[in-house]
Amino acid sequence: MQRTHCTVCTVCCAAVYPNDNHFTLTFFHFLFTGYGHAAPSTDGGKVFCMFYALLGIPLTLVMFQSLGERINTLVKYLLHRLKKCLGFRRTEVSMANMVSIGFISCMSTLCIGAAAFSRYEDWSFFHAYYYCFITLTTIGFGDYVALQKDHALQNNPKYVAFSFIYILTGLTVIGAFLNLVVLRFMTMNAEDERRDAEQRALLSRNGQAGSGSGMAAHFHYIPDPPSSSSAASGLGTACGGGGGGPAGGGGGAGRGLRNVYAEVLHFQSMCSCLWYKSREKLQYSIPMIIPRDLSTSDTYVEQGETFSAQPLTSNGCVCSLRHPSAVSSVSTGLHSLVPAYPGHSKRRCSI
Amino acid sequence: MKRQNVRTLSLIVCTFTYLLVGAAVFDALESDYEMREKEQLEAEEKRLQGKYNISEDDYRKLETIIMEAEPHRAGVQWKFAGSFYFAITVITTIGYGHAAPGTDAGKAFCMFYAVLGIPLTLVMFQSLGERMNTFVKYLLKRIKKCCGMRITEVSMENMVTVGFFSCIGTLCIGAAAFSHYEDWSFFQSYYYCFITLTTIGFGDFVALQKNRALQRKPLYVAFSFMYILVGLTVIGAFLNLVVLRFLTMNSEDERRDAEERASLAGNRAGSLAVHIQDEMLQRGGRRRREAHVQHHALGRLRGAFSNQNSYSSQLSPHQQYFHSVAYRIEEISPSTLKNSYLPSPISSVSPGLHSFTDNHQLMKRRKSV
Repeated sequence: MQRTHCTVCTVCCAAVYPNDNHFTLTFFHFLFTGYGHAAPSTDGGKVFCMFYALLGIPLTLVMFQSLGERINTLVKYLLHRLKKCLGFRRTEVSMANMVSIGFISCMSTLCIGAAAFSRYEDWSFFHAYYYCFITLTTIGFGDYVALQKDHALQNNPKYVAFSFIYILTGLTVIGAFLNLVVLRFMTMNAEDERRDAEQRALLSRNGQAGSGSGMAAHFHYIPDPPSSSSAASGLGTACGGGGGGPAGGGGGAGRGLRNVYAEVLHFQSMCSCLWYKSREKLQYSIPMIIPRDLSTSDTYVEQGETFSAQPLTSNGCVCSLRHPSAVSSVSTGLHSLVPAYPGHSKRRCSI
Repeated sequence: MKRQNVRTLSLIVCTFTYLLVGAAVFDALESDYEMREKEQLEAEEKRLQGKYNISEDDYRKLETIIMEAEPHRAGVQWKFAGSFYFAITVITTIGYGHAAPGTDAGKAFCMFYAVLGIPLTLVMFQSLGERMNTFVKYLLKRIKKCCGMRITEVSMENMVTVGFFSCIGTLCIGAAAFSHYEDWSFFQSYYYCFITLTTIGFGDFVALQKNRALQRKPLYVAFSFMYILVGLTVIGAFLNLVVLRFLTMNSEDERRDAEERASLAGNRAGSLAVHIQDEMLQRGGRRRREAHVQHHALGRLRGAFSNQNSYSSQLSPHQQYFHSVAYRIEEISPSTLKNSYLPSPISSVSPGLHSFTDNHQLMKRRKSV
């Protein structure tokens, strides 16, 4: 979290200021009114503080997110094992599980801190909770600041250590929760933009490539392997990643061109299959994402002549493996192109 | 050890080292000054106490009164304008603390307000920042075209440079404005803008606290709010450009590992890939190396294809497989394909590959960093 540096920096500042005088600290604390209870007074200190923050904030952001992701993975693994041990039928860890656990850990972190600080700082439980909340969200008003009473910074090293560890651990827990819940939204625009760019690129490429009508003939060059049908069937249910495609751009002249586009759409239907599959996993995720994706995949499902007659399978997959044509042997090459879609052209499938 | 674990551990070590270094430097820079200030204050305190014959208790009371009067002297903090200012400091996590809720109800509401407001603001600034970056990229491209440059592609360096200069520009504009309105030196204003826009928000310098500005100078108030929000957008855009990718690195690696594991688990013999593989191996010994690479990758394709019934549990192995095949095909590259054994069908397909080359960067394991 980019604001973690606020707390870290101020905690660090508190540690290094040789605070042998309670008076100085409280005076400075109120003067400076903020968790900037200690803020650099000298110009040199200010300059260094700015450079320090310039490097430190992104470093801390990335560190907490990294650590948070590791924690989430560990929790997911533990939960999975727990479910197995308890003999659950479904041992998959859903998003809802993760979010509830994350939320409960955040609340307990706040409560533990509230209990500790209310005891050490003589605050009420509510005020201590408020302090922990304002600290761990890195807002840091400074109306309540720990380690400011009774020369705690000098006289009570264990409490000092506890405070530092609490702040850093608490920030990690909050960071893990943010990593779980919020981070995906921060990259949404960029992913959509990337997908749009790919679509435009593919449209323009296919437009160029489609100028020759002899393309279909080329595709028959590679001998049709007998296994292609099984492969195609595998492909059919394989379902790469979903995404909009140049469905509209396939109009082109001639059967050959249509074959090409049919194939491309076929792969994109695989993408939609995968999308449908991922939808199963999405059932716990935020519903607002889904309708948009549905419409995206629906549009080219309609336009794809190859699967117009295909009924939905039980898992909603509309893929068919119909043509064990020469194209499918080429399709292995094309399949390699498909992944560009699944990873990045899907609109947020794998939430 | 897994890549993600190594990365996380190194980051932790780096951060702690950075903390220690910072502590040492701040100590060296500030502690002398602090000692001198403390001595001066104590001397003043003694002088005042002696001059007016104030008892210790009374003096402490005076101190408290003076300190608590500070925000009131700065203006009315909780009318609408002041509350708006406060709300900004909460959801952007700047948190000056120049005004903090005094009532318990205020504190409780502040917490709920922050729980919803902070993620909303985070996502909003990143979203807006990404839009800005896209717009800037488009403008740069047009400028490059107009200037008749050969390469009209906007590189990452271009974007980073432009982003960096916009940040510096924003800080300087703010510094000039606030130094004029608040009677701070340019350096102090710059420091204020920096601490505000990085959302540290010490509160040692706070705008709109002089001469009852919150009530008397609506234009200046509006400017301050706009400046903070626009400045945060510019900084957010720069962060979106430079830092955001690192925040998702671990998750992407983890996803890739999971896919790899899944696809390896489902690796069984299939015959499709053999054909392609044979085609490739037959033609041209000098392509053998690439063919081997493809063979290896296609082996996984084989496995993936044969696993028809277990796809529901293997959501993304194909992704991973596809990623890896795509990676390999990139190595072979369309140009080599063109003059390779594979006839035109592939080369007519290869133009499509071009559109995915930039995706390969994402599919490849994070070489860049």
